[in-house]
Amino acid sequence: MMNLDKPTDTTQPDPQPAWPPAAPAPSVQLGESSRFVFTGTSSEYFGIWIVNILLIIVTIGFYAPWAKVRRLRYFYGNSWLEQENFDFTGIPTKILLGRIIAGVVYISALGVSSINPDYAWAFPVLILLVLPWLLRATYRFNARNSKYRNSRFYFAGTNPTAYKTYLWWTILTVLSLGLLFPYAFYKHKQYQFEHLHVGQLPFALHATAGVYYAAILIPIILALILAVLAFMLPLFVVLYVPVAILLIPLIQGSLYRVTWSKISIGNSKFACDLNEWRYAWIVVTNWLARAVSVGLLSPWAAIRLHKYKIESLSIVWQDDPNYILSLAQQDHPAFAEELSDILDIDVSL
Amino acid sequence: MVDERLAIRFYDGRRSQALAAELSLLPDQHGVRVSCEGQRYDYAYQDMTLIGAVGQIRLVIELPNEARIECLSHDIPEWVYPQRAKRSQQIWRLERSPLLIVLSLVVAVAFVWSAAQYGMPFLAEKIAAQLPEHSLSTLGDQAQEQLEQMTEPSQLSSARQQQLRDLYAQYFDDAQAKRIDFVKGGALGANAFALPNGHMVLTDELVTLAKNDQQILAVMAHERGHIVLKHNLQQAISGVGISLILVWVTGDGSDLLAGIPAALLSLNYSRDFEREADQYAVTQLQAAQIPVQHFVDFLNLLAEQHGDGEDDAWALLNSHPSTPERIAAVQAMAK
Repeated sequence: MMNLDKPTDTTQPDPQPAWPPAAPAPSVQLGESSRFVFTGTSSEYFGIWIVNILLIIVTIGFYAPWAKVRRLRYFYGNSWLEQENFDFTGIPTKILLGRIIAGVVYISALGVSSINPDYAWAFPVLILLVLPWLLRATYRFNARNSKYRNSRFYFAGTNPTAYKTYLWWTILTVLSLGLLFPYAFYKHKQYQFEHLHVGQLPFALHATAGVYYAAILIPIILALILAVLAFMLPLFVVLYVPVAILLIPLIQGSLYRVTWSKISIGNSKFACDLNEWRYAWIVVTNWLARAVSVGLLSPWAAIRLHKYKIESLSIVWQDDPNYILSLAQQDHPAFAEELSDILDIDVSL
Repeated sequence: MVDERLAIRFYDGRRSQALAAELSLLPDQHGVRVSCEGQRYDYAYQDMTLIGAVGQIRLVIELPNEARIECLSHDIPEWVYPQRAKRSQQIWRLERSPLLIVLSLVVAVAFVWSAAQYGMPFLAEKIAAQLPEHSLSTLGDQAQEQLEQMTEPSQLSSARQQQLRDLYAQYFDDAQAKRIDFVKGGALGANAFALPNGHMVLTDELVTLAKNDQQILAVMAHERGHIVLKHNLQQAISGVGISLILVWVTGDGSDLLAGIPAALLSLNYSRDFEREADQYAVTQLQAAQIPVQHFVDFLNLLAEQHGDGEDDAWALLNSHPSTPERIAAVQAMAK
């Protein structure tokens, strides 16, 4: 047999046995739950990350789409549910074309606004007008290129709804001086999940706007209370400072937990036991680690955070899991490939 | 002898259940055959899309009609997918080899450092030379407003101010002379600024510190250097450039972490600019036949005021070279 990757001294041997030839039948029963598992390690990812950077430098940036695909494939492929993993199937050449276009637009806009601040307002306005379209294109692209058990995800959201969700609600948020932000965020999550399917199974978001107000306002109110107390009794500064630093990640963690615990797939529900204090702690210590290591600990930080987020998720089966997981896959009608398939932006909200 | 059978996992595209299957080379060698549960599926190489292995994740081949081949190990025979397999296998091996990882690290760090240290300033200078002087005028106007808010109006008589402007116009540049302003420095002490909008601002304290007008002329020559050589513009371009480089290189999603090194670098640029401005001042003074000694004398006066000693432990963090260094450099330039 011709071995392309004959193990050498410098290649690490495979610690795991070869994967089973056929997928094992799901052993979970109706009413039970399955937890997500993440098997990525920072030592393994560091190699991928640093070689990505090396190749990006050597190719003057052209390798970037391949780097992105490899990174996503690493994170998806190490995420497991019931002994099967996910996969990312994006084609780098399509991503490259989109990035070239996006790069030209970005650099010229940056140049204009640096040199003449009078026109600096044009850049954000342009972005705002194009953003809903770009977001929808990104969701479609990411969904179509994500797979579980060879079933593709599919995003059915339309452009008009995207504009209503993003443009309209952004304007309302600004007009309301930020008071409507939790509601706008709720609409954003609704748009992301209410139009998402995997194979034949639809996702749904059962949250109300109220939980989003709670998730955002409670940490802020807590911080304010501590600020007032700290003002009156300097001792409270000890409590206030950590909360102030942790405030944004706290809110992010709450939003993650609150969203995922209200999502269903088919009739089954997701559960999320993420603790926002631990999440915030991870985010802040990650930031410190990266600062101290001049960025070299970034791969470690990325793995650490992702692992915590993914492994906080589980699915409680209210359909027969055997039926769901081996559902006959019917492809959604193939839509013509639009230009939007070429563009992609990294949006992680 | 090439082993022409490979155990794989196969999705037939109709069921989301992976099946055990066998892959073999087609007799005409233009593709592969999947044998699974008594069925045969033939695929030509051109219909196969290879997705390379990453870490532990195995190589995958996407096929028409949503079918998919998943390899079970990293030992992939060449006939499975000729040509393309080699490159992705090489990259995969690169990512798992500690020696090559270390090499990548060294190259990456060296590149970013040299781009920021040499590449960026060079590029910024070239670009700034092409752009008009008033490119940053709006930014400069804002900076001037802020400066005026931070300080009080000058207490020098307008006659004295005009006298200094006329002196400048006499030796250097009429047009620029109109753009010389004075403020009462207060906390800023004896100081002079070249703003991005082409204006020069001197503080009252600096004017009164000087023992004669030639010393003030020397300072104005130095500030003129900043303006003529477009240092503010270069600084702006470099700043943008460094952020872009770092985003572009590490832009695989990780947050930008440029803070500390970028700040140190921009201080370094400032010191280079100060040296250039000093050089310019010396040249201009010599051309105007004003003894360079006046410049040196004034630097000494400034040093006494600001307490700038020989042993400046904070040299790395200063945007100016230390005064003894500056004086030595100026005296060397004047030869």
